[in-house]
Amino acid sequence: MAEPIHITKIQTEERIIALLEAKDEHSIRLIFDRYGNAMLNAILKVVGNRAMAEDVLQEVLVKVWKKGGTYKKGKGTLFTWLVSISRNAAIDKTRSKEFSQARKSTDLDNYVYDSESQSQRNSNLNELKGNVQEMVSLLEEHERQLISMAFFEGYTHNDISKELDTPLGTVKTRIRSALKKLRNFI
Amino acid sequence: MDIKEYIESGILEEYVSGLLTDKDNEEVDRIAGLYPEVQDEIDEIRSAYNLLANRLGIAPDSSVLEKSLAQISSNIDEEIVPAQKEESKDRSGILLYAIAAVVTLLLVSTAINFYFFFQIDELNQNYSEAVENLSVIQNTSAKKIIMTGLPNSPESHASLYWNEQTKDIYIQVGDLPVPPSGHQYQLWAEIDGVMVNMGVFHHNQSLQHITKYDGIADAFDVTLEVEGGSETATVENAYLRGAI
Repeated sequence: MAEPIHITKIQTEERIIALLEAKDEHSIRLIFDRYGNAMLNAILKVVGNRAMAEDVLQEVLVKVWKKGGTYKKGKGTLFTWLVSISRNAAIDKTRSKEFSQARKSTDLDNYVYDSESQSQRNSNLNELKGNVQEMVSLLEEHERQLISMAFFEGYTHNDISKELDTPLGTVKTRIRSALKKLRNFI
Repeated sequence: MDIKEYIESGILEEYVSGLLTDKDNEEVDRIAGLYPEVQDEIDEIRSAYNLLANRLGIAPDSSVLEKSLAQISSNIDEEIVPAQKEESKDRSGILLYAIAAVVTLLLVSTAINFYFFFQIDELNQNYSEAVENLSVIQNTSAKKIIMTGLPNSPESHASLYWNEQTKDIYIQVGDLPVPPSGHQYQLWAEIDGVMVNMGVFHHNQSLQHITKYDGIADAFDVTLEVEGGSETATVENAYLRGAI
């Protein structure tokens, strides 16, 4: 007969740190699941290209596994350490030849967007956005835009304030209230 | 320090999304260490953030993790193959360059059209599934059981729906780690400490029909098992539990 399961809550970060120190690959799975979105967002803010940001995240995960034992708790949490490594790796990437080549290629893509049917592209994008938006239909249009920019496009609240010409305080309040709505819904 | 004001300042949302400087992150860490309500708020924001990314399908691709793990396993320090293709070095003449540019534009534009076509098609499918799923969730005969993470993955969670009329059991995965290759999650009904197999499911699908079950249960549990499922639950690999 199987034993019933007993719940004992332990800190996830501490568990990950212990696994990292023990060179257990499961630590990388846990980091990816728990912090992967934030790490990608931090990288995306620097490199501005999702495919390249995912390449950098891949490099970072390997680096984290190699350097895992060097993490010291005193200065900040594991999360802060991970974000710092991610951002530094992204900055290194911007100095690479690959980055400047990709930027040229992106410029070319942008040119294609402009020279091809811009209205068709907008229509495709709107349809794409429309379907995604149905899933978060609780949110107002401006809230959806803010959530997307802040959490998935690497924009700081300050960047958003400038980009949308909206006071910083309003941006912060709206992001917070939108996320709160989603939290209640989820 | 006014903690309520601090929480409502929006700094924690920026922190969780990885956008603060190292110095600001360390300051948030310090305050979260002093005030448990700040840490609780961070955990809640992070949970919503990760769930939202998974629901919208914009979390980092799982291939990123698989490639990293493959590289770690093989312990090879080879450079990661970049996603972007190298530019041609052939710049022998303006005409050739112009032709190459036009062909490239054509190919890129075709690729973009295909990309959007498949994205829209996939999203429409997802939308239909979401509507169907909503009817399961909103069904008043369905009992909802919240499943929370066990020490193997405290942050994991899922919702289980048990229709009292049709006896159908559905699971909606909120957050479960990617299972190692050759493994799969399995649902069990727990009756007086005995685990009864309900079936296996995929970690990355949001709502799945598991089985029909017309018995009794004190709780439901999820364990990680070999692909295809096990006959008895491996309790040390338990990830979720939800009492009724």
